[in-house]
Amino acid sequence: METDRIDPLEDFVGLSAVLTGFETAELHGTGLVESHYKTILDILGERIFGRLLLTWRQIRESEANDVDFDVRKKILENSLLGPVARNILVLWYTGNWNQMPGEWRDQYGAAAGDRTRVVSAAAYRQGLVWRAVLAHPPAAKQPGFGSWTPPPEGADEIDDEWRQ
Amino acid sequence: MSGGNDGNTPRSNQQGSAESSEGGVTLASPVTRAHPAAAERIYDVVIVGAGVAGAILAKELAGAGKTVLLLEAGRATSIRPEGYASYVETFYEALAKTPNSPFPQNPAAASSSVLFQQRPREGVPVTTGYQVYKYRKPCQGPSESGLPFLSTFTRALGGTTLHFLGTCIRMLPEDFHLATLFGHGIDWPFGFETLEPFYEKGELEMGTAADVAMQEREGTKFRPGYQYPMRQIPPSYFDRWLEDRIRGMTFKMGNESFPVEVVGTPAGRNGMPNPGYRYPKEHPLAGQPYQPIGSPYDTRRGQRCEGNSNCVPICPVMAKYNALRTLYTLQPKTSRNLEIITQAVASQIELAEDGKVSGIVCKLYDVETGSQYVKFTARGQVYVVAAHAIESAKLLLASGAANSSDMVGRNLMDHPYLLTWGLAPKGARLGVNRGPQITSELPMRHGSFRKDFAAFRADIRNRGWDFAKGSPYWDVGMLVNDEQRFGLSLRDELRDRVQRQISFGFQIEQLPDPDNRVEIDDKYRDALGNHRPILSYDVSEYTRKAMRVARDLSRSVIEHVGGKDHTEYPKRPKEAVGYIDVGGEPFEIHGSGHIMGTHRMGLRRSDSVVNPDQRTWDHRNLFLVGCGNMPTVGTSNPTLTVAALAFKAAKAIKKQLES
Repeated sequence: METDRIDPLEDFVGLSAVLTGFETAELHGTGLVESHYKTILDILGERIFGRLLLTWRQIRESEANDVDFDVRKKILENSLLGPVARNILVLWYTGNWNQMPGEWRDQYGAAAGDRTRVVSAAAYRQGLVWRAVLAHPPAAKQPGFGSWTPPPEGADEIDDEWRQ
Repeated sequence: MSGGNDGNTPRSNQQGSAESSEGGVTLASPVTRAHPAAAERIYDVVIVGAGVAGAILAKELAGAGKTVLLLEAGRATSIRPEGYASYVETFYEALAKTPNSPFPQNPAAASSSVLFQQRPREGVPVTTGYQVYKYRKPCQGPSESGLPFLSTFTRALGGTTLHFLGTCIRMLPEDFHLATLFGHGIDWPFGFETLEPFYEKGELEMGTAADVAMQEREGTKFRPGYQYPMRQIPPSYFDRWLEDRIRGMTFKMGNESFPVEVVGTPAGRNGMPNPGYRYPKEHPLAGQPYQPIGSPYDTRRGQRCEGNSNCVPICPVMAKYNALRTLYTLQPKTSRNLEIITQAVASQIELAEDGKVSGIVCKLYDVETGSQYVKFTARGQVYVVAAHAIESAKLLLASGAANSSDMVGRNLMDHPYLLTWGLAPKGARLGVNRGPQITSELPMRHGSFRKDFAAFRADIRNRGWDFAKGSPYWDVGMLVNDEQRFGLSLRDELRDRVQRQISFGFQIEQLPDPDNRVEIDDKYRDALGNHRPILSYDVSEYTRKAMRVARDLSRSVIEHVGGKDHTEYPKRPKEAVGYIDVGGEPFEIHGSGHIMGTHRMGLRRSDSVVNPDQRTWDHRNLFLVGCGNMPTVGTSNPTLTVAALAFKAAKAIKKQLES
């Protein structure tokens, strides 16, 4: 018999996909799903992170027509969950965990692990921002000699001696 | 490591310059630490500092059969490929990706850091970092605080070339005669033609990629028929985009109109070998076509720039020159004559009664805290201090050496770096964040305007607003936290904004000023008890005037291409370390990393520290080599000029040893 199994990791990936604008397969492809999940859990604890994932699960299961609308209303505009979701989004994009805002800490509690830092070298290298801006992380995933000369995706070729 | 194609770890080399041993790969370079035999020997030459100047001197002199001891204060982390790779990992994990972020701080031989720069106030020096910043009253504007010196250096084997951009640009012939031609500063004790053959050697050593005809149009001179070892590094798409749109544009400065042109920047960065180039006759490969030298750890890597877009602060594959390439690719006969001792901090130049140097007292530390060290005295026939402009001057001052002119430590210079930024028209995609940080420039290097204000070169930055704002992370923060975007709306807007980011970085000439200086005080010492440098710094009106011109040029160019200027400087000194007033208007400058002028070369012992051979006027067997020798600095990044000066000094030292 099929049960509706609760898989918090899949909930995390699903919510991350909506937040980042990248497909779940792309997020898995970074190799960072589990380590980001663990990093966030370590920093925020089960109570807060669990609440975020539960809220997402409810949105998902409600089969709402406009998931983005619900995510904005129920998560991003929520005083507890909004700053958490934005931090997770920035983590995916940059590999940096930024310390939660002071007001949030006053209201919901401080945590020893909540320090601004690069969470790992891999998190830096896999930062989604570089893919979003049609580039690569400096010092990693190097695209090769001369790769900087042709037009980026969506730009026009220029009629000069470097035209390829 | 995750992902398949992001590993930049240098791999072991099976047949090249590295040797396998049980513990992994160790380079065939004569590096040791605390070699007890060194204290017993008398070398032909003892060199302080294993950066680009020291490395070239060591290679030249040891290659000519002289016994050479090279002393380096920093560590030799890079002696194993894993060590160099750890620099790259450290960079990945650094929150602030500053020029020194790959290189761990070392209290026994500290490097300077932009993170410790603050504005000093009168009577209240800034003492939090290694360098002490002392107040100097600004020549214009608010005076409650002054500028700190804004550039930094690296103390490790390889020196500051570990994090330099790689620009290898000759000074112009007119740069050597600034006083005669334009009435500013001082002339060099010799002209461009004296340095020209040594520039060629420097361009070969650093593996320079550039185009002679393009450089000639900018006023540079070459020997007839000369070719650079490699062709110009391909331009970025943004260079091409800009060139296409500003073709024919002119800009008025003073009474002259200047064409605004995109010019490729010469770089010690591997590209396509120039088919016209042949190794010179004194080279082991005389007459053969050029072969780029990449990573000494793995000769298969770095033979071309691989597009890591990270020249500063570290090229993962060493496709960009650093002094390790010189030290790790020595001929066996050179290696046999050379000994390199790292973690050896030169602390005192020992002077004999006859005025000659009799030894260099070093502190060899084991643990970086500096509480434990042993002293030894390195002895040679000839001594060279090549520890860069700040540390060399400091060592001379601490030793009471070479300073009969009172010029040691004075005339500290940089190229103040002025950033401007704007946005290209909506829909434009400039290819931002791909390739070397800078591939081309807008030069305003020569002309009669130099009577009135300083010359400059504008880097065409391939990294958008990275330096100006911290992009693209800054944009992520703005869009997520301030504009509350997420999902595809975030992703698309981020791409469209970052792809439109234009930024220029103006490197502006600075004149020698005796009150810009390095000093010492017994109050300020480091973990080993050595003096910490105390720096006083300001920027004169001549250079400030050029900032306004640069700002106007940038605005004109951005508007000419249909874009919008977004440059905005902090309004008050307390808002920015590099705040600077230009005729009542607030500007902000950064350092170029060009630390120059503290022991200048000249024709008279009364107003210079070294003679044209770069030998100190005061001590017959003491030479100084490095940016500190430059009487004036023109608009060229100084590394190539330092390389040329090192080749010139090596020739003079050889002659002296053989006379």
